[in-house]
Amino acid sequence: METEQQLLDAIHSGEREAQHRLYDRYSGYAMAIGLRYIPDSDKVRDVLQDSFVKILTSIGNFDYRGEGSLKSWVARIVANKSLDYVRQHEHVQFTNEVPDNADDEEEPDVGNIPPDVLDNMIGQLPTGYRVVLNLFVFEQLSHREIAQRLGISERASATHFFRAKKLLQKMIGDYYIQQRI
Amino acid sequence: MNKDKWTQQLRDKLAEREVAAPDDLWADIEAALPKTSVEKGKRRSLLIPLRRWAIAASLAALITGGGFLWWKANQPDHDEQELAETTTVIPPQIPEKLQPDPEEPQTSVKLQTFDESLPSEKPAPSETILPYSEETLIQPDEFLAQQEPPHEQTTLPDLEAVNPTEEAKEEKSADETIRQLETQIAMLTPKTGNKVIVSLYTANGLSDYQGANGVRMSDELAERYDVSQYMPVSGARNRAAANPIYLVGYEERQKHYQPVSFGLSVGYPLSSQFALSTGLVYTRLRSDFTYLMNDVSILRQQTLHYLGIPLNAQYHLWHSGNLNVYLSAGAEADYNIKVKTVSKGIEQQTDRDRWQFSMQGAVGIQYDVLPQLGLYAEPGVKYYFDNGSNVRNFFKDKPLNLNLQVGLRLNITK
Repeated sequence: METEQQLLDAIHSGEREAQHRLYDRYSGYAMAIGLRYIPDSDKVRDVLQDSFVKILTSIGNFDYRGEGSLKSWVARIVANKSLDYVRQHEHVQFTNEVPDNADDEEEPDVGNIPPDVLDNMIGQLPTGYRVVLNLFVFEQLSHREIAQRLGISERASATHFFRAKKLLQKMIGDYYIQQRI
Repeated sequence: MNKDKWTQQLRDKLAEREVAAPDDLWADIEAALPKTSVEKGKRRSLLIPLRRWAIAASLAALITGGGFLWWKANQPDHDEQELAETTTVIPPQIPEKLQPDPEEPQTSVKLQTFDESLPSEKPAPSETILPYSEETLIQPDEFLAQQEPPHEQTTLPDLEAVNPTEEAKEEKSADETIRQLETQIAMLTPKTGNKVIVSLYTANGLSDYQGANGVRMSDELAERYDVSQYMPVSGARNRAAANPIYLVGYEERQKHYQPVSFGLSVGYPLSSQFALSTGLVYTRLRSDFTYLMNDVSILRQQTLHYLGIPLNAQYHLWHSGNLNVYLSAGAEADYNIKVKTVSKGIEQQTDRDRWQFSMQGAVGIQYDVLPQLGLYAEPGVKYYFDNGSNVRNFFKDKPLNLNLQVGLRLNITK
């Protein structure tokens, strides 16, 4: 399989087909990321279009740092574009409430849930929770970084994450119950 | 710990997941891509160093050329003497010089430099020419500039200089003087003095210029509304005071179209290598200013017309067959004869611009299609001095420009 380096070289040499190969290679991955932020495939389609245009027009500035760095860069752009979209088009409310009795809850077990079901559950979370969960889990930002990014307090970020997890737990519980029936 | 584990578990489970993207998405992306962005980017990145190179080369050429000219200017007598010597020796030398002989030593080639180029010699595609032709190809647009110009005043002394010599010699011996006179006239006729060079040309800058400015919110207003609380990024509160706040939806955009100019110039050779030129040049500058306020936009179009007088000195560097390469440097003064500003279809009263002065330097290459007619191109740099007026135009936003002047040059032998 073509390495990222080879793919980049082909793109830099002006090979139009190489751009298509980059798209083929990462569009599914990008779609999944977009859907985790925006649970509406039509909207994600617009976001992906923007993202790939940006990726392909600014790839000249991309600093390659080994295999996988291109993929991470694509993911970052898609996540940023998705977040921008959410902020522009959805009314997100973040609260600063203190988490209810945290930490004593059981962790919702995600091990046996099919990935598409799990993604679907994330899609059902309120926007604010969903955004924080994405940033914390998938972009691996700290609550401090999330707070800076969203203009909320660190505590609010932690609260949103905690609530997201709690809601997921409930959904997972319901899912298991349904499966048993 | 547990939390981290859960996060990790969720990430492992979903992070690499893929969901098929819509089938026709690529077609839309491809259509939205600016005509092969990658190639475009590459070309631009190639152009930038080229432009820099061109500016650097022109400057270097100017400095060395200028230095050499200055040095030459300080030794005119020596040159004249050399000429006189050559001429006095043997009149039959002249026909020899007129013969195209590429192998001839440089001195005699130089004597022909300014004259009609003789047939038979092909324009040798030497390495020196390549950079210019490449440059011309790569840079499709061009800019304004002006040159060629002869200075009658300066020329007169030259002619006078001949007369005293003749007179002086006349006093000596009649025969000798007549012979000398003949030879001198023979030499001077093809060489200098008796030729006027008229050029028609057009010149253009190499690009448009565009810019946009945000409209800044005044600090008082920002404070009154406590804007910082609306800033998306936390921490911005502290920075809000230090950072300007731009009003959303308010913007000013300006686009300066490349200046277009054309002119007529007259040149007069002072020696076989040195010439002065002046003339008249017309320049038009157009700019669009767009003011955006939310959904409302107001377009103001400004057109400035200038009439300018260039004064340039040229120094011939190299000659082969019908091809001449020379350096040109000079200055120009432009007077704003008319300004027209139209906003929403209504013409507005606007003050005229002040005198605009500029300096320029170029490397020229000329190909003589006929002995009397040459085609030339002069890539160079031009710098516009800020004239302190409040008229916004291309010259103020982009004072240093690469420009390319192309034209026709007529050699009129008197």
